[in-house]
This record gives sequence, C-alpha cells and structure tokens, in this order.
Amino acid sequence: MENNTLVRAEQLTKTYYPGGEPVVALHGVSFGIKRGEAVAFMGASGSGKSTLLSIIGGLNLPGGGKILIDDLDLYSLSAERRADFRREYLGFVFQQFQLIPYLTALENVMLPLTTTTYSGRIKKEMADAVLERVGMIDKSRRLPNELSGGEQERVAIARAVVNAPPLLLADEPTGSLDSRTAGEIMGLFKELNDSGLTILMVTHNPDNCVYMNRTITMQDGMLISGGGEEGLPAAIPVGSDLRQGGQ
Amino acid sequence: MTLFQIALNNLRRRKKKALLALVALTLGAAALVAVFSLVREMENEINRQLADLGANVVIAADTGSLSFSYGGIIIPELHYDAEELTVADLELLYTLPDWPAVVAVSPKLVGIATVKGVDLAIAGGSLEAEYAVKPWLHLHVEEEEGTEHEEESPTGMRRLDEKAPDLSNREVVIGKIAAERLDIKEEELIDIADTEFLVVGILHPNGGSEDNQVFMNYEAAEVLLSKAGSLTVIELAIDFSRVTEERMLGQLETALPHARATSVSQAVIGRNELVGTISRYGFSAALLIFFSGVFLVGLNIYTAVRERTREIGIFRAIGFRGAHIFRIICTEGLLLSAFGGLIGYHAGLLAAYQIWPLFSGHDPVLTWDPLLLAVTILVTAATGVLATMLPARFAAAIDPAEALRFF
Repeated sequence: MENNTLVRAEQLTKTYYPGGEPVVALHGVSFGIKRGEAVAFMGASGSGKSTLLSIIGGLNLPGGGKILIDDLDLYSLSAERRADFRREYLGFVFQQFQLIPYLTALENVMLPLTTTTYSGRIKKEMADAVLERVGMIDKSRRLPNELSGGEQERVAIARAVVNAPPLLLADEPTGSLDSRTAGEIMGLFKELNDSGLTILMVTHNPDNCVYMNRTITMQDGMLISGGGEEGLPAAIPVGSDLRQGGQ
Repeated sequence: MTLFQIALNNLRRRKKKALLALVALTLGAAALVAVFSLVREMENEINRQLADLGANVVIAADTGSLSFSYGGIIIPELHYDAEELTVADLELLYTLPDWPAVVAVSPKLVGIATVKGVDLAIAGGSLEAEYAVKPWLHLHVEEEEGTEHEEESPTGMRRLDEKAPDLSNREVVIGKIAAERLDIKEEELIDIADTEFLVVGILHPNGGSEDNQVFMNYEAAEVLLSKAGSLTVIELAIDFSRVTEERMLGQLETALPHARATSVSQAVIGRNELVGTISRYGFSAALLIFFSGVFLVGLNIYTAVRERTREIGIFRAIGFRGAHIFRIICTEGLLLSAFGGLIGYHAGLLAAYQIWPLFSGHDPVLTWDPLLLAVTILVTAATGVLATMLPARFAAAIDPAEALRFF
C-alpha cells in the first residue's frame, strides 16, 4: 500500500543565538502532510513558520528532530546530496520573487534544469511549457526588471515547478503584490494543487488560506492549530512510531 | 542554460567591474609579453650578429680603457691612443702553433683627424683584408638621383662579386654617417690635414664604427697620423672548427704579451649576460604587475561574491551543489583572465614594437607567435583561476538559509 504522507515532521526544534542569547524558534514541532494537500502555515512574524519552511526545504539544519519527505530523512543526507534532493523533489517560491536579475524569464525558469542531464532543447521545451502554463510565454525573453510584480511572481512559480517536483514550498508568495494580483497568483497555486502538486505555503495573509486545504497556525515556535486535523497530531511523544501512528 | 552561460551573463551584467579586473590583468600579461618579446629579440639579434661576424678576434695594446665598437658589438677595454702595436708584431702571428686556423688578418692604424671641423676616426689598412674579416662591409651605391640602391644580397651581406677597392695613397672610402656629416659624395675630393683625397666609395651603414670612419691605405694613414710602423688594432678571422677559442686566445697572449686579445664571441657572451640582467629585472617588474593584476581579479571576484550572497543562496535552494557554485565563480575568473591574456598578448607585442627602437637602431623582427599566444592565455587563465579559487570556495560554502534570511 502506498504511503500517503509526503512530509512528516518529528519533534523539530531550532534555537538561534543572536548576540549569544538563545532564541528558540521551534519547540518540538510535529505534523504530517499528505500528498496533494495544500497547507498554509499562518502566524505572526517570529512565530517560526519561515524557519520551519527552510528546515522542510533542506536548507536549515534543525537542532533536533527529523524531517522526512517520502520517508527519506532529509538531514541524514550530506549537504551536496540535499542539494540534489531539492533539485528533484522540491520547488521554491521565495519572498519578493528572487529572480536572477541578469537572466531572462526563460533563463530563470531553466535554472533548476541547469545541472540536469537533459539536452538544451528539452530544457527549453520544459521551460516553455511551464511559462505557457503560468501565462508568461509571450514575455519569456524579458529580464525581471522589465516585468511587473505579478509577472515576476508567475515566473518564480514557473521556475519552482519546471522540474515537476512533488512538493512546492512557498514563503510569503503574495507579500509584495496588490490584492488583485495576489488573488490571481493564489488562483494559480490552486490550479497547481488541483493538478496534484503538494503545496506548503507560509503566509500571514488569512485571505490566502481560502485557497488552501488546511491551515496550520503557529505561535512562538509551536503549532497551535491545524497540525493534528490531518495526518499527525500537533504534538507527539518523542520516539513514537510515526509510520504506524500517523496513518 | 548552462553554468558557463550563467557565468558569462553575470560578467556582462557587471561590465564596469569586470572591465577593471580585465584591464589590470591585461596590463600584467602585456608587461610579461613585452619583456619576453624584447629579451627574445635581443637574444635573436645577438645570435644574428654572431652569425654575421663569424669567428673574429681583436688584438690591441693592453693599456686601454675605452670601448671599441665592432660590427655594432662593444669590445671592452681598447683605446685608440694606447701604446700601439707595431708592424713587427704581425710577424709574431706567424709563430702561432695554430696559425693555419687564421683565415684573414686585418691590421689597422687608427687615429683621429679633424675634417671640416668634424672629428673623425681615420683607419689605415687594407680594405681587402677588412672585407675578409668583416663580411658585412660593402659599398653604398646610388643609382640615380633621388633613388638609392643598396648593393647587397637578400641576406644583408655583400654580393660575392663585389671586390674591395684597391686604394691608392690619395684615395679613401668613407662611412655613410661620416659622409653625411661632411656632406660629401663619391668622386668628390676631401681635404684631410692639408692633403686632398678622392672619395672612391661610401660604405653602406651597418651600425658599427665603420659608419663614422674614413678608411685609407696604411701608408697614407702612417703619414697623416705621423705614426710610422705603428698599429692600433689587428683583427683576425679564425676558423674555430680547427682550434678552440680558448686555445687561440692563449697562444695570442703568449705571442703578444704586451697586447690584449679579445674574442668577439666573448663580447657577445658579455652582452648576453647584460641581456640576462635586463631580463631578470624586466621579468621581476612584469611579474609584479602581473600578480597585481591577478590579485585584483581575485579581489574583484571576492567582492562580487559578497554582493551576490543572496543570489548564491537562491542557486543553492533550487538545487545547485556547492561544486556548481564553485564552477560558476571559477568560470568567471577563467573567462576574465583568458580574455585578459588574449588582449594582453597583443598589447604586449605592440608595446615591444614601440620600445624596441630604444634598444636597437633598426626595426624589430617581432612576429605574431601562436605558441606564445597560447602560453600567455594558458598561464594567465591558470593564474586567474587560482586567484578565483578562494572566493569560489567562499561562495560554495555560503549557507543558503542565512543568505535567504530565513530566520
């Protein structure tokens, strides 16, 4: 029987030491995300949601606990293997688009394919296909500074999904957009989710949660709601057998 | 999209900064190429001169301290007014054990005379003998008015059928520069110390002391300089395939203890040492400029990496390995330095062309050398990449979470 849980967090902790003083960002966070889910992480600034997203993305070593994606313990991999994993399994949509300014929209979208073994022609076909999907094919030769905020966001989304990852991570994707454009972008996320893509989105905008299947609310590094409604309970004992208990 | 294209596009984006590093590296490469080309040309010229001169030995009285130019090469420690040799010394040469190796002998009496208010060297001897020891000597022929024709073979030597004029006691041959200074032409009369001489020929210029000389036969010079029986210098053409240079010089010192025998090749070796010194200083300065350029490239890349921390974080987040980042940064260094080497080679060659006249009176024979070009690009690129490796490692180690400010 296929394991339906794509992301599983087990007692994740993270503490930062700005200026030498410990600041706990995550307090033993646990949850599960099923394949095809669209989950919003809501919370105030400093609640730990971006830290959580970076840990799920394999970018930020947790202080304790595990993150499993498709049953693979992400931090059991070396940093270089985690980079390979990100390329194959994850798509990232960052705050403020984060497009490379000296590359065209098409080149930005092709970036995740750069280190793959696909031929140049295939890479371009794949990039064209997703640019078509996000409605940006006509502007594929433009540089980011020649695009509007909404258009840049579409290109950023196209870049995140060009390698057809099973999981899309988005960090405040509509934070820099006006409400109308934000609605359009969220509609795009919904379309992607409807096509089977699992989405984890960090947001502080409650309007965005309408487009998601589930909302997990965070406060002071802990899940205060939503974590246990689907998949795993919000808090589970350390050492529990998640594979049995969580299904 | 490839790593190479990413590197290239980034360089295009920051044109001004890239150009600055490029100029620095170009200057470094140009300095190295210029020094190398000049030194190589100096060595080539010495070799050319050595080949032209053949095997020659100059004998003069052993008391002088001034230099004597021989075919453009300076023979040290000879003096025109030194205690002179005599005609009797010529007889002693026949006693040399290896006398058969002596191919030609040109004894000369040399002195100074004022002609039309100009001090000129007067050389008295046999022009035929002089031709024998100096194969490059030949007469300058003017065919028509305004059109000069150089009577020489394509090798720069005189034609085989050109014979040395047999000078009478009232005939002279003048060096080209001396003739120009005196404003005198062939077949005209010249007054030297109240004696009239007919100019029967003008020597083609060769960059040597002959250009400033008036050449006459020995008897005429004896009278003119009031030095009967004296000789200033004896030049010998030696077949060094039959005797070693060291052995011949040793025999000459024994036979003529009051004279000093100097081999032209020794003078050439001395000049080679001078070239060596110049090349050492030149290369030191050029290397300093070169490594300053390399340092600037490294610094430029490092600064660029610091400015691109967030961008590198994005690359890492979307699946670039540290090794990929390392390659992108090194490719940027490689592109900059290889291009710097390419431009630097041509700039250096051009500089060598401009500088060469300071070292020599004639045009350089500098040529576009594809091997040197390849070596220049290779060395510049390799050093450029080495200088880039440190900032590249720094870039590869950037923490993506920190770069993207996830906390």
